[in-house]
Amino acid sequence: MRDWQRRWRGWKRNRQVVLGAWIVIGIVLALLPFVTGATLGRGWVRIIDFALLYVMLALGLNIVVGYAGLLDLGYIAFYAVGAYVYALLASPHFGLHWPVWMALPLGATVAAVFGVLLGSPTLRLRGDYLAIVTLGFGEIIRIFLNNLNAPFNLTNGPQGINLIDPIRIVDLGFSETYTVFGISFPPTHNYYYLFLTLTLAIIFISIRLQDSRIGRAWVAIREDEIAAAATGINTRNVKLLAFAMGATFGGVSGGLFAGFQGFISPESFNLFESIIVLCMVVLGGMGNIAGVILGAVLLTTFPEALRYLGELQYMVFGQVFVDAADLRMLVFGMALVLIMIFRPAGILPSMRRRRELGADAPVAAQERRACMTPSAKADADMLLALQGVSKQFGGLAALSDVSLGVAQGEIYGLIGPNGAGKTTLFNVVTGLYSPDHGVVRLGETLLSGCKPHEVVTRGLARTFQNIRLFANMTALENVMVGRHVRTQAGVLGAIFRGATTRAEESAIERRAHELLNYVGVGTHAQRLARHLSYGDQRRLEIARALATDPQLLALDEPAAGMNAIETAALQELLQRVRADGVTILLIEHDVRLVMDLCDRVAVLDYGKKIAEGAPSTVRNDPVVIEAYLGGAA
Amino acid sequence: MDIFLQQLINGLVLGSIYALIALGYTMVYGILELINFAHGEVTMMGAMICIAVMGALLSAGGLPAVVVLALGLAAAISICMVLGYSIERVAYRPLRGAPRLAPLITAIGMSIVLQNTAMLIWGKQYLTFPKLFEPQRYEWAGAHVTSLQILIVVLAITLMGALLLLVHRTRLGRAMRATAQSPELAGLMGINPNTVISFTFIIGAALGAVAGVMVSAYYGLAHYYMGFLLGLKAFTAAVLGGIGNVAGAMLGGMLLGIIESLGAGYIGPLTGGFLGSHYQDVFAFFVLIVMLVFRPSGLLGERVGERA
Repeated sequence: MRDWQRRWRGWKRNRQVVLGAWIVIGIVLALLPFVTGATLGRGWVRIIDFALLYVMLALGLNIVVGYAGLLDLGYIAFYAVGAYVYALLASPHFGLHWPVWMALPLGATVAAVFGVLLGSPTLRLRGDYLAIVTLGFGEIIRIFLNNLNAPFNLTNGPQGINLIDPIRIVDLGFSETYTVFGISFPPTHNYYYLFLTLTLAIIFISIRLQDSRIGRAWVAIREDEIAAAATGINTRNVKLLAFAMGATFGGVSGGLFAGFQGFISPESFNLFESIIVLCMVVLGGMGNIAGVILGAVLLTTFPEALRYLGELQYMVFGQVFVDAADLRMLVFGMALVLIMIFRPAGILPSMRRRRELGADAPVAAQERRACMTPSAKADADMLLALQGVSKQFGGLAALSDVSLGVAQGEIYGLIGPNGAGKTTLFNVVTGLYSPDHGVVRLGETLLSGCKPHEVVTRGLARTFQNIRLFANMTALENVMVGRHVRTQAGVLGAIFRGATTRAEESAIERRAHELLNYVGVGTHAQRLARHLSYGDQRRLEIARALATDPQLLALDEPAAGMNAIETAALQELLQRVRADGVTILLIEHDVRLVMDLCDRVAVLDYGKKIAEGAPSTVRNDPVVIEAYLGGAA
Repeated sequence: MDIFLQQLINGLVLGSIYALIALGYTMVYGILELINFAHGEVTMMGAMICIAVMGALLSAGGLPAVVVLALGLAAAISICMVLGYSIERVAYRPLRGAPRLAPLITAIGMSIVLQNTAMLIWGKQYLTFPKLFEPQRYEWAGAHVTSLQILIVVLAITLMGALLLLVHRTRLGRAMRATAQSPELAGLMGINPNTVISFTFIIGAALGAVAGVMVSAYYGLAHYYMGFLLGLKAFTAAVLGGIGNVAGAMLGGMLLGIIESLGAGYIGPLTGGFLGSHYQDVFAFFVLIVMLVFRPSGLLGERVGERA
């Protein structure tokens, strides 16, 4: 650690220093319009007002892109929707003059509705595809705004809407000049304080959301969507929530923009604006609130500052070669390229520097039957029962007519040669695939047709053959995500953080710590999952699955790649898990582990169950020997 | 009927141009999984350079029209090839392995740089494509076809055929396909991925330059801002056909062109005058959204298998 870093950390811990820093920041923010107005001129106060609007916008997009990892290139459409709703309700265009406290929230709500409308059909698309669809959506909105002046004049077409009512709260009109104690407050200053207040509110909401049950679910989806679903997160709803939240912020700032500017036209909402807002988020450091704010401030003020390029040329060369207005965008483009090359993770990268956005594709949402809860009769005392399950891929029968039952409290092994269909069976049971025929039951609940997160809700959790942790979350956070299905806190809870939410949050954390200790990685709670050793990652994945309070734990080759000591420890752990009342379904290649651990074993070969019974019996079954060793045996 | 045929012909011409540009997007995406946002701007550069060179040659005088056009086109192609190569070297190569969004931002940055460079060089006005030939007009079943339209479609199809041959019948093409599958493995087989990637950008830029010249010749105009929407549409075409798939980009381009011009021709009567032909640009995006929602891999794209 370098010297200044150590000193920095020391300061951060010192409460007086922190308090002092906040007071200084507060004073600077309070005096900013006057200082700026006196030094740089009134025009710059207006630029700062715009910077604040963009901070709000960027923070909204940050929820979608930075937290949830959904690349949205049409974000400005929500800004447009908010602005137009406000403008239509408060301008001579329709002769309506609604007060701010009605028009602004309505604009935000309409924007949120648009967010959900856009999101619901498109959210299962992969990263780049989603980007293009959102881009198309943004353009469609703009084209409609541009053309909906005939046959019925809704938007007034390319001319846009004029004479929009300035923002007025009760008797306080923000577009008037007030004099208080001899200090004059012109409109730009009034708006500055209004925007600053709202920006602080949005920052507060962002911070609260980031550190909540919902925020963790967003990050989990960004890190690994399949694992998130397998941990019990309803990925669709949580993504829609991200879209709606982002759109709400966009709608609010759009309404403010309309009132502030007094005039809007479709040209203010072109794709370039979407891209610039995205640049703010990425440039500053995606997912990091301070970074996003910095990005927004920089990208709003920098092009304005570049207007001085003309004067600069005059000072240096004595004449102006190139018009500053023409040159500034060129310099701006170059700056974007250079900053990204030297700081690819942004100027202030988030703690978790993500390697990729939306890396692997989500699960193909195959046609699914409805996920029904009740069912006629359960299979005697079997906890998990498969009856005649078949699954085809193209012409290949990965599973044909497999029936098996796992009794309450046992450890049930599933073995078979490579390609025998073990993982397919797992994917069917855990809802990643829907079976072509047959039913899967957990206790009295029908699982076939359930989505992965619904399966988890019903008490079946899994791990993956190739470990799927949320690599850039800490070990503790990974397990906390596992508590998602068993907890309730929503957006409002996250923002207001009432007693219930706080109690729930601390319960989540306590339980997560317990589980980490339980599997033996308690000492690594605060480390990023990807920094854990291989064996510890396996254990962590088990802890995360256990956090969902499963009745049945399905483990896909948990000992793969482990050395003898790690395997022995795993064996001990699984016995403890079973002793604590969790039934285990285990796919494993390590025959010794299976023989030592399992009460019963089923053997799959070419998608069929060829044997089932106690390990010692199965081991000596000639059919099994043949399957493993081929005809020669 | 003649409206239908006329719009079909117009759509085919437009579609050939989209297809040529779409190839640049799809080849790059196939290998790097990167949306080369600056590709539309390369196309624009092609148009501007060709017009500028031809203008200079014409004012010097003495050269036959065919030679002027050929030299203009050659200049456009060669400068765009250099541009394509440099864009990759400057803006994308340093960021390989960086977070996924970083190269997207540099791509946007490059796009802004190219646009504004063009604006500084050629100004904000529209440039007119010099009239070198008086195009022949043919009439066929009530629809008009010009010799220019025929030339565009034939040239585009020839180029696409040549590209398919290159990709499927040559050593470089095989290396490109291998790199698209897995850059690491291709590297282990002795293929230098960097060379392949550079070639991909160069070829894409050359095709884009030709397409840019075609657009400006077709509409008679070029403008520093034309690359943006053109690139967007071409990217849409690439996604429509199945991004990463060369044949798909061709199909997607043609289809998009036809859908757009048929849509623009018929939307007025169909909606009783409620929506007019100024909604032409909506079609591209609407088709794209519908396509992506129902068949995300595109028309010819391979279905990506999911592994748990």
